[in-house]
Formats: sequence, C-alpha cells, structure tokens
Amino acid sequence: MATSHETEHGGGHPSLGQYIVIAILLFAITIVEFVIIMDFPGEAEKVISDALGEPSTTILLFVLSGIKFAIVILFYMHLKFDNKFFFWTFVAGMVLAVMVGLSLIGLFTAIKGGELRADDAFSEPCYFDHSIGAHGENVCPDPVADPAPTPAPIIAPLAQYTDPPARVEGAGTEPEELDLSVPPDADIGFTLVEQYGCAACHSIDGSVLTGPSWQGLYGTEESLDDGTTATVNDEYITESIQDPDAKITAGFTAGLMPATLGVQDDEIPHIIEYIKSLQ
Amino acid sequence: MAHAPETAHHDEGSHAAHGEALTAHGGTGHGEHSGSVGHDYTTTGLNHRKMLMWVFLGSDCLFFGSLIATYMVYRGQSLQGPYPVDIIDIPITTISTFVLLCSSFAMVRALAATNENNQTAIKVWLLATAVLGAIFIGFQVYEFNLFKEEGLTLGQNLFGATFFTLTGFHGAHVTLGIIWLLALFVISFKGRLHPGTALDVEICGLYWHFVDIVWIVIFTLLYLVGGFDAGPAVPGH
Repeated sequence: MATSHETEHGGGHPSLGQYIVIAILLFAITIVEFVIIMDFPGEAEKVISDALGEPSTTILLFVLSGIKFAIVILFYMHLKFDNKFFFWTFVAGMVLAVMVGLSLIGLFTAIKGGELRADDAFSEPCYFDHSIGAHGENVCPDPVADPAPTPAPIIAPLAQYTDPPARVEGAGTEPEELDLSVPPDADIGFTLVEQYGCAACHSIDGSVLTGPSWQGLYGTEESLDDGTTATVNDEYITESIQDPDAKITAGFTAGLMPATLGVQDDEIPHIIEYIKSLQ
Repeated sequence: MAHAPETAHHDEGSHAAHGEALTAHGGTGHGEHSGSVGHDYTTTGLNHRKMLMWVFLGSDCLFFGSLIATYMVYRGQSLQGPYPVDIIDIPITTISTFVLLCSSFAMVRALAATNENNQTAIKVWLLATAVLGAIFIGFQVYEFNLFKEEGLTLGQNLFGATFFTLTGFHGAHVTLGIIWLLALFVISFKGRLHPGTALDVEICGLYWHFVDIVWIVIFTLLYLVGGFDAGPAVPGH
C-alpha cells in the first residue's frame, strides 16, 4: 500500500508546464481581485464593485480567494496526489478553524448591538438603538419623555458611545441645545458627559474602567505616571479634556482618550461642576 | 555509475531513478541516505515527519483562524483612527502578494529539482524562495513603519491591535520559513539534498505553501474586503 502509493506519488506530480499554468492562474486571479476592488483614475469610482454591490463583491472575493487556496493546497502541497490521510488531517483543522471563527463572530455579534459594554454590566440593560433589550423587549427609557434621573446613577448611559461627537462637526450638532451661559451647573454637566460618552471610560462609583473614576476625584492629589503628583482642580480637568495625554494618572494608559471629542470651552465649567458633585 | 556514455541529463535521470527505488523499497544499507523516506516503520505506511507537519499545519489553521476571527469581530469597532481606509495601501500589498505567490512557485521548483537531483537548480530555487520571502517581509516592515508613522500602533485602537497581531504572526511564520530555507540552502552545499532526502525539502515546502495560503486569506479579508473600513459601525450592523 505504502510503496505503491509512494511510487504513484512520485509519478503523479504535475509537470513543469502544469506548474507554470497553475502559477499564471494564481497571478490572474489576484489581478482580477485587484481590478474588482480598485478605482482607477479618470473612471467612475470602483466601477465593478459598485455595479456588483457590496455583498456580491465580498462573496465574489471569497470565492476567488477560495479557488486560490484550493489550488495551492491541492497542487503545490500535493494533496490531490498524496495520501487522503494527509488531506483529511488538514481539512479537519481547517473546518475546526472555520467553526471556531464563526462561533467567535457569532458570540460577539449575535447579542444585539455588538460586544458587551460597561453599561450592560453595571447599569440597567440599555442598548444604543433604544429599541431592543437583552431579551428582545423594549427596555430602554425614552430619553426625551423620560429623562435620565440626575441623582447619581450607577453609571451614566452611553447613548453616544458608538457615535462619538468626534465624528461629527463640533458642538453645533448636539442633539439638545443647552443654555451654557448660566453659571456652572452639574445637571448641564451631566447632560454633556452623557452626550460625549465620557462614562464609557470614567465611572462615577469608584470602579476602575479604562480611565480614572470620577468619584471623589475633585480636589484630590493624583499620582502621575512620571512620578510627580498633581492636584485635580479646574485647570487640571480642563487640560485633561483638551490635551488628554498631557498628564496621565499612574496605572492608566496614555493615548486612549481622544483629544478630538469636540468639547467646547464654554462646556468645560459645567463638566467640572458635575465632577465636583461626585464626592 | 556509468558516466561516460551518458549526458548530464541522463545522469540526473539515473539519480532520480535511484532515489525513487530507495523510496519505493524503503531500502536499507544506504548509510548516506539515513533518515530518508521509507526507512521508518509506520502502521499507516505514512512517513511520521510528514504526518507531523500536516498535523501541525491543521492546528496552525486554528491559530490563524482565531486571530482572523478576532479581527473580524472587532472590524469597524475602533473608536478613533487611523482606520483601515486611511492607511491600507492595496496596490503595494498586491505586489507583495505576487512576490509571495512567486516564492511558492520557486519552492515547487526546488522540490522538483531535488527529485531530479539537479544540484544547481536545488540551490538556485531554494535561494530564490528565501529571497522572495525576504522581499515579502521587506514590504511588511515598510508597511508597519508607515503605519506607525501614521499613528497606528498595537495599542492605538482595536484595528491596530488585531491587525498587527494577525499580520505580525504571519510575518513571524514567513521569517521562520526563510530561516528554514536558508538552512536547507546551506545543507545543499554539502550535497545532502538529493532524491533520497527530498522529504526534507518537501516538508519545508508544505510549511511554506501553508504560509502562502494563510496570506491569501489575510489579503482577501484585511485588504480587499476590510481595507475600506472606516469608523465605528452603526449598532446592529
């Protein structure tokens, strides 16, 4: 069995000509893939992929790369000619890998609204499209008819989390017009904190998320990662909003907070007032 | 060996036939060919080392499958840039994909040359494979540096974390393959690569082609399909 197989294996190799044809085929498929997705100067953008539509383009690309994949394992890796035992050993791993992949993707996306976020763990279930809860029912309070209670919620809702104002132009596009000319007001500050999604990283109950908790923060002496300390006052908070990486609290990571949140100068005093209220 | 009446080609042919016979009969008494195909007794009739490589490649599928799945899970979830659409350069990566495909062809030729016992061709094609692999890595180093200058690091956002982890591990595989190829290249100068030891080249080739097919998948998913991704996805999509 083995000997006859090995002999057959030796004689079953594709010839040089066949290998060249295979190589040219692989190149050709890659060129086709490239042409499908690229836009060319002087032409309407992405002619082919636009004509096909996104799902068809993706499926076509999957099919083409699947063909390349199959050609390489069957001919270059000789699985077409070799013992079927090798073929199934590899295919088993491949199938398992695809199943693990699909399970992972399913695990993270089958739950409505993307991955599990901080508010799911700490607060009442509330998803971002304000329509469907963990069990399919509508559990989210209507933010207009039923404003969020100001008396310190465990953690502020993250209504803006997936659509941070950084992606919108400035504060002019805020959903609510706030009168910012009044003296610093913690309620206005809370509304702003909600809008900018600050609570995604800053808790107000002392629990440590991506950024330092705001509970009892104002007026304290913070240890910084460069070994110095700084007092949390108006200037410190202002700087931390406008230039988040200027001072980094010891134990936290620089570069995570965007400097482009779009917080306006006249909004900062209200946010500071809100943080002050969290004693 | 009757050299005189034969052309070089025929001489190679006789070597090949010799190797084939050795393979087929699991010949003993060829001390110089110890460790070659067919010497080990196996219950399946399959060579253990080749089996080991296929089992490894099957499990490596799971390794890359998980990293690819992680990338797909976090696709479009980065809250700050740079996003793929800002920095992914498909034309350049298409060229490096070509280079890797070429290296697979060179690898196939190296194995064929080993089976034909064409010593010059063995060296040329092994070196060509290694050099093409090194060019591919060169493209990757260039790309990584460019991305770093654009602000994309491992810790910048979810795209950076998943992209660098996946392509970095692939690059590490390619690098290991280059070292393996160069080792074979050095060994070939000692005349230790011939039809009797073709399995040494074949196993390295299996690994090399596997790295190639992983790149085929990565190129499709991260560049062709995911290369135009922008900021955060709308919830529910």
